[in-house]
Amino acid sequence: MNPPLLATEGLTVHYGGVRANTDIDLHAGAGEVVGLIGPNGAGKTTFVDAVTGFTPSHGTVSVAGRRVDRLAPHQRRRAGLARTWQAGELFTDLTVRQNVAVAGGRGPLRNLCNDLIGRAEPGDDVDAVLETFGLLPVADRRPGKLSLGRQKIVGVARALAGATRVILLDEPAAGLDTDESAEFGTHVRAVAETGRAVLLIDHDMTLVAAICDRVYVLDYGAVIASGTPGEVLADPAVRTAYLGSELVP
Amino acid sequence: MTEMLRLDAVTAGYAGIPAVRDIGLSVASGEIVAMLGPNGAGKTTTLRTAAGILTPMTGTVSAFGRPLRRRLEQNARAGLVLVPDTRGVFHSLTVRENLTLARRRNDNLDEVLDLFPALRELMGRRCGRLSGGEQQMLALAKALVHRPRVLLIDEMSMGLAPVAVQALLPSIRALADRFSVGVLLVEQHIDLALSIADRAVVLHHGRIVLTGPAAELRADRNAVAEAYFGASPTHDSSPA
Amino acid sequence: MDQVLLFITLGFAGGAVYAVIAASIVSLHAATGVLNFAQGSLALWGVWVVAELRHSGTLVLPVGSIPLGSGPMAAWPAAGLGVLSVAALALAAHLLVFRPLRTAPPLAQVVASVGLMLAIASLVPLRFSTEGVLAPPILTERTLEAAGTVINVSDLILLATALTVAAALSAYLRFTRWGVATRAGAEDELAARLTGLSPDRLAAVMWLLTGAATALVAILAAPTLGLDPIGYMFYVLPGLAAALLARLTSIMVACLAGLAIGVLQSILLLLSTFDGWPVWAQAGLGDAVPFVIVVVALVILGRRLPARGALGTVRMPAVALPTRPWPTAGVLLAAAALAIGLTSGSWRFGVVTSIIMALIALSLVVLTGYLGQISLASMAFAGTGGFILSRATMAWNVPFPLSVLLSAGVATLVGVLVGLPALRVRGAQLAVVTLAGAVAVQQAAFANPALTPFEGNLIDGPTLFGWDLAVRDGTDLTTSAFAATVVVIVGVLAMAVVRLLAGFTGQSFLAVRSNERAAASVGIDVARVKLAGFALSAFLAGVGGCLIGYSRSQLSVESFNVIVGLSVLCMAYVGGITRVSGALIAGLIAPLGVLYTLLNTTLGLGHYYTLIAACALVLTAVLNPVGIAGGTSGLLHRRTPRKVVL
Repeated sequence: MNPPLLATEGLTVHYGGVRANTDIDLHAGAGEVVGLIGPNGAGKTTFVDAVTGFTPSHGTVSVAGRRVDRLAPHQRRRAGLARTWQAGELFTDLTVRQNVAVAGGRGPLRNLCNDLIGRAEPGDDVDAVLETFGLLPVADRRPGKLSLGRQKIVGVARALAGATRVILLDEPAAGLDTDESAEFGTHVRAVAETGRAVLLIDHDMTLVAAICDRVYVLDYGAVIASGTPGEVLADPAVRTAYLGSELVP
Repeated sequence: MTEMLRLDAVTAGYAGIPAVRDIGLSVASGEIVAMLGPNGAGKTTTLRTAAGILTPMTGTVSAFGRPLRRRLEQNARAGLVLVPDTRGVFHSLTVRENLTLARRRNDNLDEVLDLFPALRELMGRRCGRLSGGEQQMLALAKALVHRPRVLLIDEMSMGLAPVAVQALLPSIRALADRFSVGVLLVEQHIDLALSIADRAVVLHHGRIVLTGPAAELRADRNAVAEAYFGASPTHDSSPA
Repeated sequence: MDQVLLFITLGFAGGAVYAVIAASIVSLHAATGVLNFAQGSLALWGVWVVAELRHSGTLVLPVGSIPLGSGPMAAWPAAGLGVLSVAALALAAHLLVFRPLRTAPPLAQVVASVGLMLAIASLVPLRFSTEGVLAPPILTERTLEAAGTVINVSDLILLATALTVAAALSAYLRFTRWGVATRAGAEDELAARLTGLSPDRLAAVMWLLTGAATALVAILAAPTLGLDPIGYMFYVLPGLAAALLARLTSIMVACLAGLAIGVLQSILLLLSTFDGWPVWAQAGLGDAVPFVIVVVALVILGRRLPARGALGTVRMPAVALPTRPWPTAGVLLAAAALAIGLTSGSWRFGVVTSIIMALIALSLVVLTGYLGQISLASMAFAGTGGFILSRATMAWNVPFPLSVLLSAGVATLVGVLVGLPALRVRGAQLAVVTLAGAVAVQQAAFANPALTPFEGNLIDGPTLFGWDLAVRDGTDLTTSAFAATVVVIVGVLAMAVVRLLAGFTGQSFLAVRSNERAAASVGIDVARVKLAGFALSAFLAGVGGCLIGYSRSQLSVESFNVIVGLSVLCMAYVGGITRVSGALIAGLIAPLGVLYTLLNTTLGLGHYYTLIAACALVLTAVLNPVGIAGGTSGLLHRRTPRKVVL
């Protein structure tokens, strides 16, 4: 059996004396959309930071069987592990097309030579990515001029440029209205159909239930439940974590 | 019960992109209004707009019967005080320094410390060395020392153990009653919030989707749960 | 041993000034978030105000002066007035410059404070008659004997004063209500405002206090250190070094570090007199020490230095590339040809200098405008190119294009070296490192007599395939052949830079500038991109330095001194540091360029040049952070009605 595209084992993060993530085992296979939910402060973003190398952690992270937990963030990205950010963090000075084109990771010297002789890097098919997400009409605008929904989609497109195999989406639907959220869901599903693994963090349960194959639930830094969305959302422990003990119907 | 804070048809957000739309709500003195809703629904944006940190794109915010002033410190001195989810306490200062920072002549430090007796023991300690619950107590005490007329409280329970939250929230009811403060409370522990609030509004995707007396919302839990979980998978009682 | 003790006490005077500057920088940073490069210039102003009062009894203001009595004023009243006038100057700096900039990006704050530093320093020789004025003693001239050596009591008093002043600043922040409020604002400005505090007023108090403190110690130390029309300005460097060593948090540590640097410099002076001390290390070591300390401090402590959280952040000015580079290049080429053809002598020299300076400004557009790294060392890169060129042509007989490539190559290496700290520090702190590096290179290399040939740094004129391209031919000060060479080299490099900035290189630079975290998350190796930026920038500046070398035929330390370098940064910023067109404007208004020639030959205002440049910089930073190039295109945008899409 092929190793899963993304696998963590015993992933643990300490902030000072506090454990923000405790022993998280998680895996996501090709073509899968896996949800990661939990109340505010449960450690979901910390997990994404740890997996992508933005915060120090213990435990293992592997991409398609290859260990990446010793690599720097940009090296993990080149190994096929991409993420989006809660606040978007798009490059405000670049156009939508440039935001996507700059991703993927070439060395500065290679860029320098390519620019001087006017050569395009083979395999860079930025326009194809833009077209997939319906971004071609706005390709030459700055992301700040787009609606929030479009900006989130640019973030996903940027994360997919190059040889991305695993994509971690950190609260991509926050701030979107109902229609935008649904449209975003179809894009995420389409990404998974191409044989990539998607980890989706979100609070919009409608979205999570609609597009995730499996869901993990974090509370106080540890996994308290996992399974299909139906199973997980019916789990009393999950309802308690969200609503407080007395409100579970 | 005089009206202390009022938002009229407020649309606000960041970088020209609205995060909340058409928000209308008011808070009277001595009243607690709970603001509920899933993450990303726009609760913090609403609170920051009410505090004057964000300027609404359309609509108006008024406190004490007049529009907000231009400078944040002017609003704070007039009695509109925000307790942000980062707590707004200064970690490098001692508890005493935090409490006496913007002290004015008629402060009510003693009265406030009566409300949080645990702080009396900690006056000389640096805030950064307090536990989360103690810091949150300090945040509330620090807000109260300035004799606020409206308190805007954002996710007090963030990062706190449930026990600490259960101990802290009732003190908000007490201070609303005792000092006639109007409170706009954002809280993720829904049931606790509803148990101390007079009224509640539920936000979803940047709009108010549900509003009513707290007791009613408590009774009709499914309505609130639906705002959080969408059409609930455990129930087949979807509207026909 | 007794000699060591003597030199230690001799270091107290300088150390006391460094210490109070360091303590002031830390305090100001806490209250405002600004790293004040002008603190040394404030000291300079105070010292001269007192000297003039004690010479003629006249209180000199930046504009105008007030005669106070007919004769010299007594020492202590004069010192008091000096302290007051510096405090007032500091308050004016806060109200007019730094308060409007409080939410501006770090680059705008840095250039404003550099501009202020230059403005005050260039005002001194204009406002005071610097010939023959001495700083008579204020403190006692008594000496005492200890451990077999004679010690000046005044040095001990200076030591005590510096410690007392730092302790007073520290106590203010620790124990007073305003001080506590200032610390609260330093930790979280938004929370402070929400508590009802006014950080602006607290900042004003801090400007007053630190201005007075710095002036007091500098005025007391001036009789020992001597009057110098410029020196005190650079005392800010050891001060900044000490402040960074204290992690910008501890006033007392900053004070002790400043004293230690002063003592260290004094001991180095002693060591350099010993036999067996290498000749090359006799000069400039005292200036290199602060640089080494800053670099070590930043590399070790870099990630723990606090960055003051501000209310809102304004983005760096937007970039804009020439939309049609080829036609623009054609027009510019024609304009350059015309300018060279129509001029001769000093005017043509001005034109050629402007073209060369545009190249050096372009190196700043690449590094600061596109990559967001604030570097004050561009002239040191240029100088490296120029001085290597002198060796290459005179000692090693390397022929023309190769000689330029070799020299610029060495400059590139120096650029990468100076860029290494950029992997750990950013913003204003990087500016400190690069400025300290520039001063170290200037003092330890360019101005080092041991490294300068007996006949000076001569440069052999370029020839290509037997053509003589040298700048001088008989009485012709600037030959058209040399001018054409400059145009071709600068033109080719400029076109290459436009290509790079429009391509992947420019995109990855901008990505790093706008968000380093996000850049790493899309696979960009931020460290290597930064080093590539420093390398490219240093290469361009190095070529510029070679061309300056060829145009002068002989170089001295003055050709590339730090003041010229800072003026070029000013000009690049005023021109528009995020635009290639800004580099062109910077060239026109650069030192010894077309505008300078105009001021000098036609209007006779040459000696006002630095002051005008510095004031233009401050004004630009405050009023229009995008620069002239950006400002005009912004105006055009506003006038063009938006297209309406139906």
